[in-house]
This record gives sequence, structure tokens and C-alpha cells, in this order.
Amino acid sequence: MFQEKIKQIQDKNQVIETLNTFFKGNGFTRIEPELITRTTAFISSNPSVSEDKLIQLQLRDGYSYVLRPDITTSILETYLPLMDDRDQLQVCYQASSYRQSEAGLKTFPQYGYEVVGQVNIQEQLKMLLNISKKLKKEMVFVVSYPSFITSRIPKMTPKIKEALSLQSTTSLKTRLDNKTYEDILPYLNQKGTFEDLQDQLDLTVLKPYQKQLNQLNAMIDLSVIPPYDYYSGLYIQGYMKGYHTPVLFGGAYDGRTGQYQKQAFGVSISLEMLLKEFNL
Amino acid sequence: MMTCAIPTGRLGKQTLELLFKQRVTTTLIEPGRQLQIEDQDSNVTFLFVKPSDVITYVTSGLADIGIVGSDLIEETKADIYELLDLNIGTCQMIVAGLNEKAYVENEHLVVSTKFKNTAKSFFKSRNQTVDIKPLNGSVELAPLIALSDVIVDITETGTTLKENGLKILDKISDVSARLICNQASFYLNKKEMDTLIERLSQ
Repeated sequence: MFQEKIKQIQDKNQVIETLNTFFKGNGFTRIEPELITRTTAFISSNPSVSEDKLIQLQLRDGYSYVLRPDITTSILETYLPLMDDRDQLQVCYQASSYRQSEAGLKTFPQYGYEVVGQVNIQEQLKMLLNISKKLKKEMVFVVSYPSFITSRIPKMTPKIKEALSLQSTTSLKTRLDNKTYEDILPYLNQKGTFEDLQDQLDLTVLKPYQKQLNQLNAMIDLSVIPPYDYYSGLYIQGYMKGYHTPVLFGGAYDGRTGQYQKQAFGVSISLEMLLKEFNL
Repeated sequence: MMTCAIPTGRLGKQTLELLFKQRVTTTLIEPGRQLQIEDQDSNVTFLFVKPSDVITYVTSGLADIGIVGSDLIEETKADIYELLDLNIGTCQMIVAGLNEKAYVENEHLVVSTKFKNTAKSFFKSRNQTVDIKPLNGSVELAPLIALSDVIVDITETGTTLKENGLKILDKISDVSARLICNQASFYLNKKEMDTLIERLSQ
């Protein structure tokens, strides 16, 4: 039992070291994200995340903190205020995020990376392709562009957002005016590769990335709404047989860093999946 | 082979009738004590589970798809996709009480319910403060014994409410059974999902 546990730790270390070497070779610096984030900082960039799901801490400095519900906010809080116009942040990390659940503390161990400054999305998609090639099983990539669909809804309410997250046409029909409903319905009903959809849907926002999306064999689903509000540009999720939640998610979040005139892109990958499926 | 969680009880019966009618299966029979059936005709393994457990089976990946009332989808806010309104198991989510006096806007209310999240969210949208008394059954009893001012519950015909001297004071939503799926299963079994949706929507 003990030897098994030690072997698991050694295997985990080997996967993480291999990933660290891969990212270092691509110009990334490994960091240790802060464990806690100011509650106000997290909520201001994620207004629709329920506070019930956060693990809140009241510290003696008089501020309220949350045990990091996501890593991106934690990294941005630390580094963004220190960056000047020309600075480029390229970091990778192995860390966990934390949420409340009915059963208590829920931990999400992950390996991830963030790029803040000048971002070439095509390069980022190539990076994802390279990572996916190192896995034992095929990953199904699903791509959306959240601001494309949300900008078509004149007044976004929590109920509409909830219905969109469920992809519930029944619920959306009762909550949207006819014109808006008819406008977004094709994006809810049609999902497929760029080639499958290009004659039926307006894919202008994804056109610059067509080549890389084809290389990833990505399925376009423009109705996908991410769990975090700051993703507004290209958003990507990865699914794999044997896993019932996305094993990878991330994308562009210029909206969060726009006040600093910076572009941003980040991806988080399930550590549980990497430990089982990564080819050393 | 996909796995589908079917609720036991009345909704389960209506679901099986629908699966037959839409020719999703021609061989699946209502199970006795058997809780898992591999149906070769539809190429689906059916799991017969308690209605309130359908979402757990789907979100945990033990079932790819499931059939569940929209009341439970609203209550759990689970990360699932809702593929289709099956137009069976129709009823309403309502607020009921002994009389209108018990339901004054802006006044603090005590609410008994099986649907605490739905109730909280509904009264929050009315800017009304509430104390929720969670109950698992016989909710209609609560106002009669002064446990609460009102109840939030589902009703199909209103008969049980009437028999207990309760009136419908507000409607929260229409409820019906929905075909739901696990998000990962949706993308990994896209073809099978599309076929199933097409059959059920005809």
C-alpha cells in the first residue's frame, strides 16, 4: 500500500517534470499561484458565479478572501499590476482550485498555462495540438466564442444565462423575444466542424483560426457558455472517452485584462487525466 | 452502447410509452425488479432509478442520458445539457397556502418545500425574505399545522391541494419531462445523440 502510494507520487512527479520541460522549451516560466484571492477581485471578474460555491475566509486584515476558485484570477491579481506596456507573461503551473459542493470541499488538481501581453491565438491552438499528440487517447475539442452569442441577446439575465448553459431551447423560448430566439436558435441546433457549418452559420469570428481548428478536428458549438465570465473570445474545451467532465478548458480572456491594454489566453488541463493518459 | 437513466414510477411508465411510440425501442418492457436492462433493439442500456437520482447518474457519467422533470433540473442547477422537452409528466411549480392573506408581497414568509433552491430563487426575484423549512413529503400539511405560511410544490390537477384546503397563490413555472445528457457524452456520442433526438422529436 505504502509502496504503491510512493510509486504514484513518483509517476506524478515525472509527468509534471515532463510538462515543465515542454513548457520551458516553449518560453514559459513555472510559477506557484497564490492560494487565496480577494473575494471582491474574484466576484468582479465572475459576477455570475454563485457565492455559495466559494470557500470564503475572513482574515484579521479586515478583508474577505476566497480559497482560489480558479487559478487565472489568482495569477492575474499577482502579476498584472506589476506589468508595464511591453511586458509579456508566459507562465505554467501545477495547482488545485477549490469549490464548495453538497459533499463539502471539492478540489480540482490541474496543470495549466497563461499568456498575457501579445497573444497569437493560432500559436496557442498549435500548442494545444502538440499537447494532445502526447496523450494516449484522442481528445475531442469543442470550440465556441462566448461574446458572439451573448452579444446577440439584448438583455442578459441570470435565468437566460442558465438556460443557455443548459442549451435549453424550451426555456430560452419563454425568456427571449421571438426575434432574438430565432436569431440564436441555429447556433444552438447546429454543431460540427468548420467545413460542416460554414455555409449555414456566420463563422466570421472563427475564420482567422480555421486552419488550426481543422488540424484539431474541432467541433464548433457557438452556443457553449463557459463557467467563468471572463472568457469572451475563442473558448475551447477538450473531452475524452472515460471522463464525464471536460478534461481541458480555456481560451481568450482579453475582457479581463483589457484595462491594461493586454491580450490574454489560458488553458487548464485535468491533472487526473494527464496522470493516466500522458505518454512519457 | 449508450446508457440511459429512466425514472421509476408514473413518469417512467409514460417514458416507456413514449419510447415505444417513437420507435426508439420495440422490445423494452417495463421492468419488474430488474433495474438494468441491455436493450439490443435500441442499442441502449436502461437503468431504472429513483426520479431524484436521474441527474446524479447523468452528471457522474454513469448514464449518458436521462429523463427527468424540469423541476429537478431547476432545483439542482446541474452541469448537463437539456436536449428535448418530451411533453410528458406535465405539471406546474406553484406557491400555495390557506388564503391570499398568507402571501403578502414584501412581508417575511415561512415556506415549506422539497424544492429549497427553486423557492429561494423565486422569492429572491420578488425581493421577499423567506425562511425555508425543507420537507421530503406531505408538504401540503405544513400550512395546516402552522409550520409555514405557504408551500412551494408541484401540482398536476390541484386535487391534493384542494383536499387539504389549500389554494394556488402563484405559479412559478410550467414543468415537464426533459431528455438530458452528460455534456461529455453529448460530444463524444454526437451521432447517437442526434439519432435519438430526431426519433423523439418526430
